[in-house]
Amino acid sequence: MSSKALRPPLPLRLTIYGFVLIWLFMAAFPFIWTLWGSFKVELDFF
Amino acid sequence: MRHRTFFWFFLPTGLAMLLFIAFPIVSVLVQSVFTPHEAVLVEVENCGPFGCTVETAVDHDATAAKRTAEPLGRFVGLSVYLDRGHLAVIEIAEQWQASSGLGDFISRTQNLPFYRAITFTLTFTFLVTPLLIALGLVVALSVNSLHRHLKGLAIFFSLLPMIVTPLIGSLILFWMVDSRGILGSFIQYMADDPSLSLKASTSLTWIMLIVYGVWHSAPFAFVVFYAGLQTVPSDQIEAARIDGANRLLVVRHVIVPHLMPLVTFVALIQLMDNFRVLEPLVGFNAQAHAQSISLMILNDLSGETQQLSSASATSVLTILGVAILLLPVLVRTWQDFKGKK
Repeated sequence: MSSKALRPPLPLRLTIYGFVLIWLFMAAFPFIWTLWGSFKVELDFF
Repeated sequence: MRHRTFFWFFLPTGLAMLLFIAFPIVSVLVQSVFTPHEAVLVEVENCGPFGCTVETAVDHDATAAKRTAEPLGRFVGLSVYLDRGHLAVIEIAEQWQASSGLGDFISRTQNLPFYRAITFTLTFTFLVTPLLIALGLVVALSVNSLHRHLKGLAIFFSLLPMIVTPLIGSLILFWMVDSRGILGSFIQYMADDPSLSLKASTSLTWIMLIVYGVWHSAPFAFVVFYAGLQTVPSDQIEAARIDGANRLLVVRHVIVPHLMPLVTFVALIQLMDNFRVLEPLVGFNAQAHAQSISLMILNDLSGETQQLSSASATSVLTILGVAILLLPVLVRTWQDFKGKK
C-alpha cells in the first residue's frame, strides 16, 4: 500500500484520470459505435 | 546443462523451426530465381481461297508438356529482383541520369512500384513504432497510478484495439472516417468544409493509416510496460524521492532505465510487424493512395495469373528488409549481453 507521501498531488491525479478517460474513450468508442450501428439496417447505419 | 541434454530438449523446437521457417524460406528463395516457361510457339500455314498465310500460334500441348516436365520453370538468376517490378536498377539509373536533383529523383522513383511501396512502408514503420512505444508507456504509467478497483476495467478497455482482428479494426475506423460517419462528419464540421474527405487525399490517407497503426498497436506496448512497472523496485523510487527527485526525474532516471529491455523487445516486435503492414491498407481501401511491400505480394498472388516468381522475390526482399531493420537492435542487445558476461 503506497503511503500518502508518495501519492501524487490532486492536480496531477486529475490530469492522470482525465488522460485515462480520454484514452479509454479512444480505445473503446469505435467498438461501441459499431455495436450501436449493428442494430440498424444498412441504410440507417450512418 | 550438458550438450546432449540440451540437444534432446531443443530437438522438437528445432524440427518445427526447420519445417515451418527454414524450408519455406528456402522454397521462396528457389522460386524467386525461376520463372514459368514461355509458351511454345509454332508457325501454322492456313490456306484458303485467297491464298496461304503463315500465322504464329501457341502450341498448348507442347507448352503444357514442357511445364509438366519442368514445373519449377526456367532459371533466370537475379533478373526478377532487378526487373521494373522490384529493384528496377535500369530504370533507377535512367531516372538518376534524367533527374535535375535529389528531390526530383525521389519523386521520379515513386513511379516505380517497389520504391512507392517501400516509401510508405518505411514511413509507416518509423512513425508508428516510436509513437506507439511513447503512448504505451504514458498509458501504462497512468493506469498504474489509478485506484486499484479501477485498474482492471481500465486494462480491459485499453486492450480492445489490440484484441480485435486488424482487418475488422481498420474497417471500423474506415466507417467512422467516412464522410457520413461520425469522425468524417466531425472533421468536416471542424474544418467548415462539407466536401472534405479523408479518403480523397493521399496525405490524409497516410495520416489516417498511421493513426490506425498507433491505435491498434499501443495496447501491446501498454500491457508489456504495465507488467514491467510491477517489477520496479520501490526502494529505488523512495531513495530517489528522498534525494529530492520529482516525479518526472523518477520516471526518467529510475523507471525508464528499468524498462529499457522491454522497450527493446517491443521495438523489435513492432518494427517487424509494422514493416509487414497489410490489413489497414485493405480495410481502408487505400490501395490507390498507399502501397506496401506485403500488398505487392498479395497483388501478385491474387490476380488472374499468379506471379509466383515476383511474389517470391518481394518476399525475399521483405525478409532482407526486416533483417536490416532489426540489425542495430540485435547488435546492441548482443553487445549488452557480452558486456554483462
